[in-house]
Amino acid sequence: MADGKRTQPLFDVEEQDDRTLRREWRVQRVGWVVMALLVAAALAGAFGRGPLAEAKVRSPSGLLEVDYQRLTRHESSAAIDVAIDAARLPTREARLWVDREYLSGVSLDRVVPEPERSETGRDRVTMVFPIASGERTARVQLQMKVGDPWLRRIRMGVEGGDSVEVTQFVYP
Amino acid sequence: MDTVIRAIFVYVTLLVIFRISGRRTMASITTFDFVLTLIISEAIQQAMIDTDYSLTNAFLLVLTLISLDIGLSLVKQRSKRLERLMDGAPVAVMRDGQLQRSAMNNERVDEEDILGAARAQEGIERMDQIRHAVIEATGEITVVPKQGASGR
Repeated sequence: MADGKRTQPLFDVEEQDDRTLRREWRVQRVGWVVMALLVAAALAGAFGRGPLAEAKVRSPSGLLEVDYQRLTRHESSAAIDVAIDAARLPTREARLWVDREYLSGVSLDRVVPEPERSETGRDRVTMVFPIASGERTARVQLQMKVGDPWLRRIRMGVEGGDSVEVTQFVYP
Repeated sequence: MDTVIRAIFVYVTLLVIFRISGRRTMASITTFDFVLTLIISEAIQQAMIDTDYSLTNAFLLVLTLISLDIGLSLVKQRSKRLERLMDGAPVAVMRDGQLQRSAMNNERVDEEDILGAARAQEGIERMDQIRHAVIEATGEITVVPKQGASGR
């Protein structure tokens, strides 16, 4: 029933291609090192959620300080913390604006505290927060789920004051 | 479009990672290996589905994965070299009664594994009854007994 052409077994235990085998083992070991390095990088936050991913930036005049994630991942939750120097504001309210291009690429879950009102402009959304008397720093947290991947530009600022512009990389 | 890309990416990544991890990782024998298989499939599922719970998405994922599988197996059929590269070949860990230490170390096989396979397949009790032992591409260890040594 066999076709009778093979008398030798296909795999001969006596002979082994040593050179190919050794190369295979070497490639495997290199692969393991790469995997270990990737795990170490991930622990350090190179892929988001870690020391390497967190960044802080101040506006030129120091009015605005923003803590954000410079590295984050698709569908992952990321928060942006904003601190505004209330003493320097002309009125009893902080008008924080965020550009719409960025907001359209994320899913904003919550703003803490809730703004008194939100004004939608052509290219930015402005959130108005009242400032209690005696409050030196107004703190706002934007809780969101990051959406569109790759490079995203975040622009935010205080109306009548200066602004910051940073880049965020979103892993797919 | 991104469903297909996800499926391809996940398939190829898993293929490469498992191939790099060596033959022993593929043979699920211990409880630990079993747990690993369960967890990996759970980890991958979320990424492939990505909040798209439609029938269409599920269908596309399955279709892409099966197509990849068929495509790769056709490619392997045409090229022995590619087949060897993607699947790996059997490696002898014991030859003519002699343990091949280098192969055993590199493939993470110890004497207990060989004896266990010998008992299971041939009913053999001792190392000196084994002629050859091979770890297959699947990670399974197969044993060739010495003449007249088989317990079956």
